[in-house]
Amino acid sequence: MEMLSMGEYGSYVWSSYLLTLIVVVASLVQARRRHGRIQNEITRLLKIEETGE
Amino acid sequence: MHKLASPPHFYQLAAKIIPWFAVSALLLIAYGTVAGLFFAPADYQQGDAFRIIYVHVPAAYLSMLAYSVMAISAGIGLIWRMKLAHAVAAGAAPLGAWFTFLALATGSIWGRPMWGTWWEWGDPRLTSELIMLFLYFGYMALRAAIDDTQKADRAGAVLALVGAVNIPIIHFSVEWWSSLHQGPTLIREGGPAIVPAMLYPLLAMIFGFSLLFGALLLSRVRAEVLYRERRSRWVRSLLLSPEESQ
Repeated sequence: MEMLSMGEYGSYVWSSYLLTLIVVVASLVQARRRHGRIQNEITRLLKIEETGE
Repeated sequence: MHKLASPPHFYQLAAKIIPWFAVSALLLIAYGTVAGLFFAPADYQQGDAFRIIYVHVPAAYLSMLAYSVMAISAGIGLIWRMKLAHAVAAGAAPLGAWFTFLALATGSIWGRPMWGTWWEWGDPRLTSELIMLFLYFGYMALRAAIDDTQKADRAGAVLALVGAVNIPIIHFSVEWWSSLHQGPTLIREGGPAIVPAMLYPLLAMIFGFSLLFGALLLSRVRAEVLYRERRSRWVRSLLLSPEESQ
């Protein structure tokens, strides 16, 4: 427990690490979603083209 | 080099590299986090607050690495008209913005107990880093405002190159002007000013975050390449008949 309290600086240390985790996860999700969105959109357009609609 | 820069080849190759980067990044960051939080000794001046260094320094380092990648790729794209280089520049910008935000936020959280303030207007290190965040936003806004991809590439490249003057300013700000910010820990005359038990987790974090950045960048550039090549035959066969193009 003492190790987790980080002396008197627990709130500063843990909030920094939590924020880092949030940014890492957000950037990963964002990069993945962007690829998926572009892929779906192009596939949709190509299919429309192909069926001549 | 030309084969590497060919969009379909890049697209396939990047997909193979990303998992390796991601897994090595995860291992290094896991080690660095555990060792940095629990095994490195507390700093004799800063106590446990110094542990913020293990997230702050990699974030700050990546914020500048991403800008360098963006500016150099933009320059290559501008001079040699290499389309893939512009895609790299466009992919690096949002990542740079994320890590600049993280460097500013963790720095602010670290500054509160150490300097007694969240933010100091006019401090050269803090201000030049904040300017970089605005450069990233400016670059992305400029690109978003121009429909024609080639025009957006060129306009963005000019902005990225002009803004690159800020990179040495950030780096040397703590030497050129008086700043609240502490001096360099690693890259300084006489070697790193830090004991090995504190140093190794930091190096692992910097290296791990760089690999993470590599994986994120490749992923973003893949999306960028797919969009730019949407009218090409290889994208058509990839998306409409994936089994044939494998």
